Amino acid sequence: MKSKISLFNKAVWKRNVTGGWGLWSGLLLFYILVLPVSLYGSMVQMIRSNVVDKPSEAIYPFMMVDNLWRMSFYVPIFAIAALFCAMYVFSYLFTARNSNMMHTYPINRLSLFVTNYVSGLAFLLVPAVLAALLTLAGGASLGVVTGEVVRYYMLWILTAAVENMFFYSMAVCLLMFVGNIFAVPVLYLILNFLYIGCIVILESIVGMVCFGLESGSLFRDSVNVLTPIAYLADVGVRALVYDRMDIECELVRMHVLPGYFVAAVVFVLIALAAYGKKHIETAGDVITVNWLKPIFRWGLAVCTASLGALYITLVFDSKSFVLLICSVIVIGAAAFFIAQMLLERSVHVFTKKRLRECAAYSVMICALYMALNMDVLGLEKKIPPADQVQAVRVSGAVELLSDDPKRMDWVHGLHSQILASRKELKRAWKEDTMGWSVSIDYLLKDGSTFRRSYRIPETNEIFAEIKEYSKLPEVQLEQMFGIHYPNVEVYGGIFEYYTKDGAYSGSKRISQTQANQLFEAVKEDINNGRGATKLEQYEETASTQTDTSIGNLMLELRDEAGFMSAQNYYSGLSQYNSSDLAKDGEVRIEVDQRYASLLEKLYELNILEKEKEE
Amino acid sequence: MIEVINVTKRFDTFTALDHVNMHVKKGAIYGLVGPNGAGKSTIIRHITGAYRQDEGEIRVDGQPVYENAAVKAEIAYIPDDIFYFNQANLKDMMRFYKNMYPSFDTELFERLHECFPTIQKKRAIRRLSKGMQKQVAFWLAICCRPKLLILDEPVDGLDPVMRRQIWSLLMSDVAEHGITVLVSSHNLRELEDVCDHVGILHHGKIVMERSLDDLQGSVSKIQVAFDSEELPVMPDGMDILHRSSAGRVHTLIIRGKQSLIRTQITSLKPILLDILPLTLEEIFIYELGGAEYEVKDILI
Repeated sequence: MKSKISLFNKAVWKRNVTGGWGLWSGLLLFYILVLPVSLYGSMVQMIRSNVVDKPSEAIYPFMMVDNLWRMSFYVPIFAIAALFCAMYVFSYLFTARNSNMMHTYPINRLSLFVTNYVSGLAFLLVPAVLAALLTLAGGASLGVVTGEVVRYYMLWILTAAVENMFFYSMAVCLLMFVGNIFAVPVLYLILNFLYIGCIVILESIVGMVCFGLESGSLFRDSVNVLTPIAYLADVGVRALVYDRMDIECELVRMHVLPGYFVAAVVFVLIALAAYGKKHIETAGDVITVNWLKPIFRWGLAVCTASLGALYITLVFDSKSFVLLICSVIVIGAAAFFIAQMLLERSVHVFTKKRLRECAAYSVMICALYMALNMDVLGLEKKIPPADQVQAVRVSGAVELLSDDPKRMDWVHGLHSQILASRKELKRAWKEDTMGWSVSIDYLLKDGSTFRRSYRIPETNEIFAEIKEYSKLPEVQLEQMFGIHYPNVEVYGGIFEYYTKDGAYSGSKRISQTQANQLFEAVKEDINNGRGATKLEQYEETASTQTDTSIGNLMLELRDEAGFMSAQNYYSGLSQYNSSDLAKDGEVRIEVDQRYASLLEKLYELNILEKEKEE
Repeated sequence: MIEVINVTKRFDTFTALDHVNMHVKKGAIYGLVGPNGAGKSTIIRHITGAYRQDEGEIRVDGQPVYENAAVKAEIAYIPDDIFYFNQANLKDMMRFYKNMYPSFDTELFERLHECFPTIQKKRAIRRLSKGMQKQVAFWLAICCRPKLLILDEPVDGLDPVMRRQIWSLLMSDVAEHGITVLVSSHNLRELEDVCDHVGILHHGKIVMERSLDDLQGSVSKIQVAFDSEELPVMPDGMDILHRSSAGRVHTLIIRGKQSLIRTQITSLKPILLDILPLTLEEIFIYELGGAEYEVKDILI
């Protein structure tokens, strides 16, 4: 009577298919509506509105990209459907009665797992594949199926298969550790956003306690492969050249699919191992594995405490460390016992053992916050070594983007100076003293970035130094005309006119010759100290409450090394190493009475005067 | 048929089974009794292969049962709280059992409809009454042609007629096919009529395991009267578990062989001597009553 290993059980499969008809037929209906039916509807609409004459012309772009690659629409559906399918095929694990009975039938766990897993996966994949093939067949009947179309359909099926398998395997894996039907969707959602959630919490903790570290200081690219539901929405095919019958597409992030497939396999193996060792009597428990229970308890306590403390400090608009730590302890302890209540499904959780554990938790969380506050990890004091920095960007009170060693030295010095005055600045930060924010971004040679943000009171000597530095003509010119100034060529421009009330009143195109003359005039003004820094402009506007600008001069220029300017938000440090950096740029100069040479030149070229007379 | 050897099971800090030893012979009808929470259902779930023991060994027909599909194919189990798939009717369940159990007897299934005439095959089982659901469970279990039938509180919810019919079906199956039956109950009166072996589980331990004949032969209820009202001094070594008097008639519960007891008491020249049969309930009261066991919990 030795048990033969059979991986597939016909009885369970038939039962799953007949019992789960609502799921797979619902999915089939959905895919049919969004693929072939939607395609047909679009075609009818376009023909009716006389946009095109032939059905093939109408249908082709939909066949190629429009209909198929709306992954931001499909991915959440994949994720939700995967959860429902997993919950259905393993539904017997949620109640002791069902779980006990299923495990008394003559089937071993491996076979039960494999059959259920395959059933759920078939529910997800078969409707998608059928609908895609049906669409393809519809397209073929209209004569718009080319080799390229078939290729993209096969790619879509592959993408959908991998993504469905990934979400489904993740849900199945979760089900092996969570036995409560209501906890599964919540924890599945958390698992999908676990990485980004941890970062948000960690950054909120650090941002609350550490000086100079605000949100985004530690992790810049929060949404990555570890946040699948968001990341996979951008995986697929994108149209590059779009002309009704001539569509050129590119594959976007498709290289990550093998990684997700491997992750799905890992999830399945973990789930299978966990299922083999699962104690059936834990059916209905929130967490069914003992070693996970403390992680759940402590994790919930730490996360809730951090978010709760953040809320409290925001509500009271306070940076008091005492208030913060008290909030963390009280909210954390409450969350700790709520977690225990969920685990035990009882409110009688205030045992000596748990009270001791909660006390240990409180001590540890206090120690963590104290360590961060005292900067034990050196996060506040850290400055990247000068030899590891590729480029720097300063924003806020002064705008500076540079890879010039001279400028980088100054930024390094400024940062050191800020840290030297840390105590004083920290006090001012906590007291919300009036000041300017200064953010320093370093692009390191390994491609990573390092960011710190500070608030510098206007009365502080560091602020005066920033102000002085930003007034230096060469600094102003570099920030205005790009980091490769003077190696730039001005080839045109536009002058925008404003009325005395500051309203836009028209524009005039400027020739290359005129633009070069105006460029020289701007340089002359700045070299003679007649340019306005950002700070000065702000201070003037704030004091006079009037806009003194006469117009806007926009100079178009070309930088063969790639145009990068502190004024241009999109060409910041993230673009520094980009191979396809745009060479053409635009510089905007707000013209006021200060720019004497520029004004004179504008009058001389009849740009300003002529327009005024008109 | 069933060997439970030194099995221990803990649920966190609670020990549900504490070094349990239990043996059920092939063809026996074994009654497992014990108060609520004694561990009856827990040991049954181990024997059916649902639970994995922390320590010890469980064998059915000489083979470990846990994760052994071939062994489990020989077992049919009717739990106290019966499980059916959502929306499934009897036909659906029959198809499932037919695919699941290689020895499922479809002809027998059709024949047995006569025994359960009130059950409509196409009606969702969840819409049936609790008693009818239990009948469905018996119907399906019998059709699996098991070698071992495990019943957990089997006739709860059945009316007396159906109870009798079900037991009669089971008895005929035992007689015809020699199946082994393990039946758990906290009701001794019910088990007395059907079981030939009994095991008592209490606080996660088997405190006694014997055949019913042994039990009934080892304890006797004696009604005896002498000339005088006083009970004479009884012979040395006589194990009297209980004594009571009503006038000159004394009632004694004595452990030992009936023939020896009769000889010993006859030597005291009683004017009346009657040896009465003991119910299972009485045996447990007198056997375990003095041993600090909560027998009152077993006897309801």
